[in-house]
Amino acid sequence: MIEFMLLFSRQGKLRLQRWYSALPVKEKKKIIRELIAIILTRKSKMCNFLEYRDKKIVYRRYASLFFCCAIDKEDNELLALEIIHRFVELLDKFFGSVCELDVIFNFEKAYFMLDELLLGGIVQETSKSHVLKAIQCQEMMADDAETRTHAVLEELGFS
Amino acid sequence: MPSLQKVKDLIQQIRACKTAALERDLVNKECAKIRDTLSLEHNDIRHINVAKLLYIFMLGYPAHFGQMECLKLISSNSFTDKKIGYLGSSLLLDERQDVHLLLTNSIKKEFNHSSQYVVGLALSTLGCILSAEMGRDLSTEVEKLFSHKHSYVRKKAALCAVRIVSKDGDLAENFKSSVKKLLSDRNHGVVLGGVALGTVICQKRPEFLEDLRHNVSHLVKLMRTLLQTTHAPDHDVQGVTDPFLQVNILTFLRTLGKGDETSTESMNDILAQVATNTDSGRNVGNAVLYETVKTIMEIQAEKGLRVLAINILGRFLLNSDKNIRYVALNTLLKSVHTADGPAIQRHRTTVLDCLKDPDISIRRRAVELCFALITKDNIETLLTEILALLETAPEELQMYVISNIFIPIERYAPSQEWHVNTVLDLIRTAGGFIRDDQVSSIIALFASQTEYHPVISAKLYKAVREDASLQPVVQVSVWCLGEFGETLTTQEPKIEETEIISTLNELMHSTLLNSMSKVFTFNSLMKLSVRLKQQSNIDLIKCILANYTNNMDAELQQRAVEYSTLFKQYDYLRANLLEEIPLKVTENEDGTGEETSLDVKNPKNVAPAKKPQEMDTLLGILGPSDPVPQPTAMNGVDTNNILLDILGTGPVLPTTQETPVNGNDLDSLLGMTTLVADTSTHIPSITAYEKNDICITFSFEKNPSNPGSFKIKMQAKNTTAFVEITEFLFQAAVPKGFEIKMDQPDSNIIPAQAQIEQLMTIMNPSKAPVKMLIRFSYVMNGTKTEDQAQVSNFPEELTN
Repeated sequence: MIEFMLLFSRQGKLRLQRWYSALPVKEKKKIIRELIAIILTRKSKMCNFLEYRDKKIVYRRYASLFFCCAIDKEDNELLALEIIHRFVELLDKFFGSVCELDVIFNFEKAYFMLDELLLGGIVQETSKSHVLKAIQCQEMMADDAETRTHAVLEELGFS
Repeated sequence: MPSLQKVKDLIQQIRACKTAALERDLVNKECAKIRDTLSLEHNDIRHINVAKLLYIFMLGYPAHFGQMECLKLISSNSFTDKKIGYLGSSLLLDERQDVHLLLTNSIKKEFNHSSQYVVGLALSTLGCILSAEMGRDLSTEVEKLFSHKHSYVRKKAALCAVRIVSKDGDLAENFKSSVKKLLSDRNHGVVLGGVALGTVICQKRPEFLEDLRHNVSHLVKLMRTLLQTTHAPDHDVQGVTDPFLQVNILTFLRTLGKGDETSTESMNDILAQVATNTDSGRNVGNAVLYETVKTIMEIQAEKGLRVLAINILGRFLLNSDKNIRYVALNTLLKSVHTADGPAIQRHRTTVLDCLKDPDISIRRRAVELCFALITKDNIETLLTEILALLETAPEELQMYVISNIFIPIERYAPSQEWHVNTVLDLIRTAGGFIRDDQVSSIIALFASQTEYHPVISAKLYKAVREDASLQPVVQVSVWCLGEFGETLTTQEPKIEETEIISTLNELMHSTLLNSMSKVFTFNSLMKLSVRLKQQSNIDLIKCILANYTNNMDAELQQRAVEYSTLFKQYDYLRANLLEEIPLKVTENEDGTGEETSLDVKNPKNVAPAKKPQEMDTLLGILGPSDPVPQPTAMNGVDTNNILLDILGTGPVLPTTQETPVNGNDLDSLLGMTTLVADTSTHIPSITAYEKNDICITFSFEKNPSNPGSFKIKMQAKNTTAFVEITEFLFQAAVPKGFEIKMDQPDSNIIPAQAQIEQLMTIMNPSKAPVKMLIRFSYVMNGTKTEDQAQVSNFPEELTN
């Protein structure tokens, strides 16, 4: 099971965090800080796994973004890499050649995408097209609501 | 009315901040604005505010005042509101019970929503923030969703069930029967959920394993279908059909097959198929292979299959992908101590190649594996490689190697010469990391190798000349120089006595050495004062020592004063005091490790020699067909005469009443434990005295190695209901020809209904019938009582 998934930039800025286990906020912040420091100092020729506390950390860099997840000791590290890759592929399909800015400005969409791929730290959908279809359907449902909000905003005088 | 901007504008502004302080200011202002707007209760713009809060939260600022807003959004009818509401709850909610309860209720309601996506949102959030309590409240509802008409909901419900069970194993009962249904679903996501649910139930509740094993054949069939599917565009990943599902099925099979022969047999075939047919060209194929290997190793798979698995790992080691090499080393490391060890030895050369890997974590794993692979036959080749690695390795790795290397070297060294040379090499390459306890054992090793003293002193002298900043190296070196440094002056290249002394003197002046190392150097100089021949050098040593009699360092000053006095007043003692240190009788980590370690492992290795005698005593005991009767008190029958008689002839040993010395105490304790164990089966115990609130019993143990002697455990019991006995003193006398040794009693106070114990050893070389006179005194209620008795009802076994 994946315990948490983090996305952060090469400058060490957190871009996304998804925790599947309850930890105090302080503890989460500490883990994030430590892991960013460890991973950013690792050289590119090093392997993508490291041991951290009682977990294994699997990370991979895509352009300026690091994708990093923590799995249990007996889990499959190579598959975790595949899960990360699948997430990147999905983002790429959705945004059309995704870049860090897409994830920054549409962070909520990145969360929705992750939530269609994983649930409780386990892969829930193994087909890319199923995930994308679910996301599209929800976008359409949201658009209806969005137009209504715009109407209200204009009414109130902000546009 | 505060102005309102879009989420994207806020992000833009925050990104434009040049300093952290500016950013903090902006965020604080924005948070204040959000609070104001939220209090206005504009339902239609609430989701924008919460979204902004979520961004602010990700930057690390507190945003928990948005929790209640999230709950409001969830109960809204708009889908966008719901989405942001659920996202916010899953990010912002902490352990606060009251909010959880509210959320539980909202989620429960949402499970009946007409839109599958709304139900999906609720389930996704549940998967993130589920607590054991929420699990208990919602488990029935989640289970109902297993039959939802949309697979989209079914798969999410299955995974929520996984989380519920992993939080609280007691809830597994509700889901156990649904696993089968989930596994038969057409949707891969649902099947995967079923597989994960089955796995977690097995882990949490092993008693359900048997039930779930019925699914093995179905899982094998699923696996086969996946392997045979060639064209599945929906689930294909670089030529492998649904690797995610495959890996999860393999994990489940591993959980089910472990320790169960029937199910293991039924999965052997499919495991072999996966192992041989999966394409190992890409990471995804290797992920499946890796999981297969793990399953093969952990269940009791047939031998051929295990060799196949090890060979797959061997191929992994040659892979150009560093990740794959890493997992291979890790997995090999796990199974190297099992029966598969020999199969792993075959890949030794590949492992050795990994020692040169550019990735340090791989080198580290490879070294660990190398250590595990060391045997008597390959230690020379492996150590050559490890030493080569040490030369270039970063400190962290050197430290690891040094702290682990000495044990195998000691255990498997092919010759003393090799042993000495290897240790010298280690000192040269990574001597700084040698631990203090290792310093002592290295010194012991070098001291014991008298024939290599010239080589050792030469190499160590060179090491100290080159780098005198490493404490362990200096400590070992100066110790050896002091003990046999004179060998330097007689071998080529010859080193003058003066030179040695000036080197040591330099060390004394060094600022890099700690006081411990300097004390080592001091001792070394002192020892050299009797080993070196030229008087001028001895005077030099005196001078150096004298300089330190006023040193700030207490330890150094102490030594300097002691040694100077030795020179001045007790010079005639010096030669004898500073003689060569006697060779240490090694206990474990040192030279003769192998012999002693044998002893440690097999403490009974002297037992066989004693066996026959034990048999004898046993026969002796079994010999008499009728058991010895156990008469009670024997006192009162003209004891006084006999007492005089015995007292006149035999030794009387009064017991001392001082505080027992620790050692004795321990002895008697040890003696007692064996006694209790043996007498219960061998020799019947007797009651020696029973009157006046005291009951004294004897139990016996014969000494198998010396048939003439036996041990008696005397137990004195206070039979009164409430009164304490104090100052209890027990004495015993035996006739001539016997010898008696008494240990100290464990106490001289006997509380009511309690007892004390005392051990005696009787030597009876002539094997005459045993008689004994006992006398004892005690104080009870303030009055002193004395009594005595003759004991002659000793069991016959004692004299057989």
